[in-house]
Amino acid sequence: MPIKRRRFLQALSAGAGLATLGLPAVRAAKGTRIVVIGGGFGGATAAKYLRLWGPDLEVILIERNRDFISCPQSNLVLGGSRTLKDLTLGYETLTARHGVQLVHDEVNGIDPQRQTLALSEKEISYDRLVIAPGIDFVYDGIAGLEDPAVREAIPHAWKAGPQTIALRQQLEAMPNGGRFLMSIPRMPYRCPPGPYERACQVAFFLRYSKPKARITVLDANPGIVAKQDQFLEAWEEKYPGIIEYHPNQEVTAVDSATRTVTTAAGKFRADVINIIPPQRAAAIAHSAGVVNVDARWCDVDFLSYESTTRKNIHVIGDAIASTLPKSGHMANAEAKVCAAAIVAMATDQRLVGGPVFANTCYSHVNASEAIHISNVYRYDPVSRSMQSVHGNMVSEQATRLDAYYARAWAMNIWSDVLD
Amino acid sequence: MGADTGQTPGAPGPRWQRQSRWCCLLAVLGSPAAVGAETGEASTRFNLATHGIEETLSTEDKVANVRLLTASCAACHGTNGYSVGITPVLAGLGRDYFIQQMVDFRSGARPGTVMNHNASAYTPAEIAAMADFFAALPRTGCDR
Ligand SMILES: Cc1cc2nc3c(=O)[nH]c(=O)nc-3n(C[C@H](O)[C@H](O)[C@H](O)COP(=O)(O)OP(=O)(O)OC[C@H]3O[C@@H](n4cnc5c(N)ncnc54)[C@H](O)[C@@H]3O)c2cc1C
Repeated sequence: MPIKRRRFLQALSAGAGLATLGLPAVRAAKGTRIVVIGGGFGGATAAKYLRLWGPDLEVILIERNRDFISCPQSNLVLGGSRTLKDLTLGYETLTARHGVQLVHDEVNGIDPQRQTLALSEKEISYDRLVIAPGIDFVYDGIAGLEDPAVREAIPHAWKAGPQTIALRQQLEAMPNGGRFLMSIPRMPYRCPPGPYERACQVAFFLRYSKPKARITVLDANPGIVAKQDQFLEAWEEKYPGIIEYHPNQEVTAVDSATRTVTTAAGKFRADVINIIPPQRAAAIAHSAGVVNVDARWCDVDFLSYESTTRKNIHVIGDAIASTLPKSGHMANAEAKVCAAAIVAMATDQRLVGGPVFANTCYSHVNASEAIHISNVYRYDPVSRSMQSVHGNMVSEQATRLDAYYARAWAMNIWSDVLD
Repeated sequence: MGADTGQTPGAPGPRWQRQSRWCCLLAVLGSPAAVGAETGEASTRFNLATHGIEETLSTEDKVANVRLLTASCAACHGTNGYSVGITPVLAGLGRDYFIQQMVDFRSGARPGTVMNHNASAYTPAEIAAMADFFAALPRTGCDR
């Protein structure tokens, strides 16, 4: 092992001990290589801030897709007030301005002992690894969805991209008087308020273009999991008689030929079906051996986002097990804590105290009004987790002002992640 | 942020204690002598210290924390506070103005949306440190 790398590893493994020693600040060993897997909200932010705060670090970001497509605002594509193109952004600035090395490739495996990753045609080594792979869907519990052809015909549209467009096209082709059915998995899943926003957006589209159409929402949870009163008010006032909401309905089967969905309560038929399947940390987290909660999520140290099972591997974003919501905003915030911790370790500096960060999530009830929910989290050394400082706050009702701020939030977070 | 504020994270202390700290911050702002003295980091420390807010951090500690603290503002206010949307640019805001906004958001004197809630989650020392951070940045330009 090269000397430089050994020194770095020693510094890293010394961990908390360094804090008390209070060693003088030194520059990171040149050539210290941090590899980030996944260029979504979490990974791209981590790569950028690693370079901002640790200019001596070599940072490689590996992402399978050429473009960044934002899930936030993608429900508006279904409603018709945004196009997918509006939400499609590039990675160029991360390289040009911040010196992040972009590799567009698939990571197929991780060897934590040798500290190497297997890409499609080559291997790449790392000194420290950040995994930000987002989620994969769990199809086991839903008969019918094991067939990839059915998964095409019945899009989840829960990763913004071609499926978002496919679902929009199905809605456009739906007859007036037809029925749209969507299902929501049990918590935790990506973006808790997102499905209810989606119901609003589909209702907004149908209300004007197919006023006789109806919507069925099957929720595996006992009730609306976020912004309940505000969503119910929006459904009642803006879309009266359009949305039928059924709590405690876990989907067990889907038949794409007859367009039927089964739950314990019975069968539901619809013209367009959107199953949002249960979720877990994406596959690469499993192959890294960092999935240790419910066989689905990754437990981390909230001061550094280092995995509790594998030293030297950090996990951020939707893939972690946490009291924090699975949001782009949280992935962005976690990435910065992780980056700060890695930079501190690499430069033998100490980080004092625990992190504090905010989460705001906007849901659009139509093309011009939104609801926000806001929360500030502070590290609690007793439970060693992030805890809400004083609970969340939700807008009393949907407002135009919140829609303006929602747009500003999107522009700023996209820029913070990628520019 | 333990050492940052003298408070135990997650256990912000009795309500009266927190309120009295806020009263102190307001008093600092309201007193002409203090306002006149508030020009740099040293005065921050002085004012906060004389009003019962512990300031025990060394400069490096402070920088490490404040960088992370203010980075959370970026999702809505842009990297380093250089907003690219309609939310205000925080970079280059006068220190006193920044603190006054946070105090007014907290009390409701300044009506808002998200900020009325969020402003009240931070300690006076954290707000003062954020104010210093943004005040030190140029108002325009993109010092990312
Ligand atoms: C409809 C909808 C609306 C939403 N609205 C909001 C909102 O308003 N506000 C908000 O804060 N959040 C919102 N979210 C949630 C937000 O999109 C996610 O929480 C966020 O994307 C999580 O970030 P991440 O970095 O963990 O994962 P992702 O952003 O999904 O990024 C993971 C990346 O890793 C890549 N990847 C994975 N495995 C590999 C591999 N093996 N090799 C190479 N690359 C790999 C993927 O291609 C992907 O780009 C919404 C989500 C949906 C579905």
